[in-house]
Amino acid sequence: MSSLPAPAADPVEFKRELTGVVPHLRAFARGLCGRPDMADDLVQETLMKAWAAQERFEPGTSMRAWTFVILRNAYLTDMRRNRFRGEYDENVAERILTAPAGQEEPIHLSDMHRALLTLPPERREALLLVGAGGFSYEEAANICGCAVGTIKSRVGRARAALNEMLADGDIPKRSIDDDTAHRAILEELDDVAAGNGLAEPTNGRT
Amino acid sequence: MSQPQWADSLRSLYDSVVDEPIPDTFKDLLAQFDEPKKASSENGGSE
Repeated sequence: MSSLPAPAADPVEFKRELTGVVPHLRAFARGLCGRPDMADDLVQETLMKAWAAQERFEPGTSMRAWTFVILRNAYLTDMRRNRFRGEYDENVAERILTAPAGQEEPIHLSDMHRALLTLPPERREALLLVGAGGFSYEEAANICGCAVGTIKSRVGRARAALNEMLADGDIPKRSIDDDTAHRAILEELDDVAAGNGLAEPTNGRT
Repeated sequence: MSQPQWADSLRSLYDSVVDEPIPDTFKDLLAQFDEPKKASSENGGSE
């Protein structure tokens, strides 16, 4: 009770900004976890946490970056609790991953998404932040709580992997359907959630 | 070195979600935030 929760930001302004980043939170979450329903759950959780923590937001700084940190942490926490592990549904995933988003995209967004989801989570998020979200390496490093060099390395490896997959047209179509591959992805994610992946910038692979 | 073709695709993937209309569940959630916390005399100001 020593401190009143004096909001640093005007709640009305805070809410306006928070509302403004919802589409970005949804896009980031969708890229991270691939499942729209799960992604939106994550965004809801993020919004509630952000609202509860609004006095910690510094007005004038990036609401998008601030909320991405919250979303990312919520994602890792949920994964650590295995909340979603038992719920993976091949058929749902297949439908989501192959469903055209309203219209046929010339560049095969479903292939893109599938390829993205085969990346180790820490590389996927790094690439999402920099390559899709338009964050600088520095901003992405802040969001992920790691060194700039680590982010650069992760993005580089992610790009190399996608170059290989997508340039050859050799998208691992089976790998997301494949339970074993998916489990491998989740296990790797567990390492990240446990902090092992984060502390381990080098993986020996390129 | 030019951007690979998939770089645009990655952005499109992200942007396609950004461009989706926000589901009502989020609007409802955001609307709820005001009420218990701030019994604000202002009328909502949602949207």
